[in-house]
Amino acid sequence: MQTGFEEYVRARGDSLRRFAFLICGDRHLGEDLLQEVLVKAYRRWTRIEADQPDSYIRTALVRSHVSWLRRRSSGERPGAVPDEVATGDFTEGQALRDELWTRLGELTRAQRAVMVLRYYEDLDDRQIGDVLRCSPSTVRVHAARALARLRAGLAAATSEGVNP
Amino acid sequence: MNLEEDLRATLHERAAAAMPPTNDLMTNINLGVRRDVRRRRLVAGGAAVLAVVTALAVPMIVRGGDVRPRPMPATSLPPSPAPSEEWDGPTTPSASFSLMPGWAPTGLGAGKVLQLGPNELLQFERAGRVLSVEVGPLQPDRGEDTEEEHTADVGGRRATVRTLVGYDGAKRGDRFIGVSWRTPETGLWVQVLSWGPLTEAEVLRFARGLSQRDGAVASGPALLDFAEVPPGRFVTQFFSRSTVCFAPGGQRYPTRLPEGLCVELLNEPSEPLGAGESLTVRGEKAALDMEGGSMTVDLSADRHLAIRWDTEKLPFSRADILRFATGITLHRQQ
Repeated sequence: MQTGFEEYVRARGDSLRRFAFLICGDRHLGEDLLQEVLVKAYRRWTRIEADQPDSYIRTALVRSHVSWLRRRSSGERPGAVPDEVATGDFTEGQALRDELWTRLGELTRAQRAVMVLRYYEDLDDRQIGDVLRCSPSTVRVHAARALARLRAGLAAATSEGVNP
Repeated sequence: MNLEEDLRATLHERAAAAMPPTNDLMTNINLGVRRDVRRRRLVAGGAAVLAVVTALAVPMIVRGGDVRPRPMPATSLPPSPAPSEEWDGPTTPSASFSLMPGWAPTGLGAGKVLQLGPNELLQFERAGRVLSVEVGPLQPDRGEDTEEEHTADVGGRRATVRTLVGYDGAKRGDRFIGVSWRTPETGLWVQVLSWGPLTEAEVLRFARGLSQRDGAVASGPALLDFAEVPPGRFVTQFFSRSTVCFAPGGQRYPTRLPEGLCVELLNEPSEPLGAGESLTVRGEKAALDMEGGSMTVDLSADRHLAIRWDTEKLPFSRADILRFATGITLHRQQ
């Protein structure tokens, strides 16, 4: 195996695992996705390494996940089940973030990817469009629908909490 | 905080949460690389591999002085299908390969024919050995990055020969050999790739034995029958026995990749059932995502249909997709 590739994986593996986890909403699916993308990247590594490996790998992670071509042996729906269950006492803010994390799992893959790229990676709509291979206006549509769905979900959860 | 700030905090909080250590990432990648090498040799032409796609406007094929018309890739994407009520069909797609091998090494078995956009691929594979030949206006995937390169004569044409010893997954004595040339009169690419024990002399002998004969090798029918195809002069963009894509406007997309309106027969769902709108298609469970342009149908015996289309280029209605999906059946001989 190429030395440069192995060094990159050892240095950046954890960061990429976190990103893949956010994109998939499930730790195991995220790691499967990351492995799949890195395997593909390995054979083009000479070219990738000379450019911006992080950007390339993150783009590949998003596209692979959003693409219908990605095979999954698991029937799990990403994010349908919270990856981590918060335990113990937690504040209202923590409860809100847990609820939000759960609701993220109800978005489409493209919508979720837009949320992660915008609010975790801090990319603008043009950059997100480059990653997703769509126009900035399409990104804005995905974002608007995602935010609307999240708001509706949170409102419903709040309502259920008030009127069980 | 507002929703966007909460989102930002949520994502960073989750990402920052302790990730259990993984000592096997490199190990798994190493294993994956081995599997990938084997898989790529099985699809040597790159049907599932991103290719460097060069759109070339080449209207004619010339081989041995014989001038033949040949479908040319569009230099821009075909227009969206025009509104029409006329559906085509029924059809069972197939493909053919238009070069006839004059000689082939023994023990490779029958060849498989794939259509990769405007390119055609013939591939022999047995016991890890792969020999493939691809012809078409788009530059084929190179198969392997090689360090050694020289030229050779193939039927009076100057061909590039690339070799690599010790590719990932190679057994003792195995080597990768790629021979490619471009017909100067037409710009068509021809590429022969070999992974395995074949020598350069054998690969060149195979390459030199190829001769033009339209429909020389037939693929056999797809595993799927289509009772109807939507209006819009759809043609077969991509063909393997288990995957068929249709492109609109009577011409193929200038890519070797499966694009357009695609249907794939899988042993597992490409999207989990339950995503999108749940419904039934001829009594089978299905999930439809009109926004994302995908649909899965859960057939019996661990078989699944995956239908995918580009919603911007192919703005099908829900009724269109349901009508199309309803008409897809497993080929009768399967």
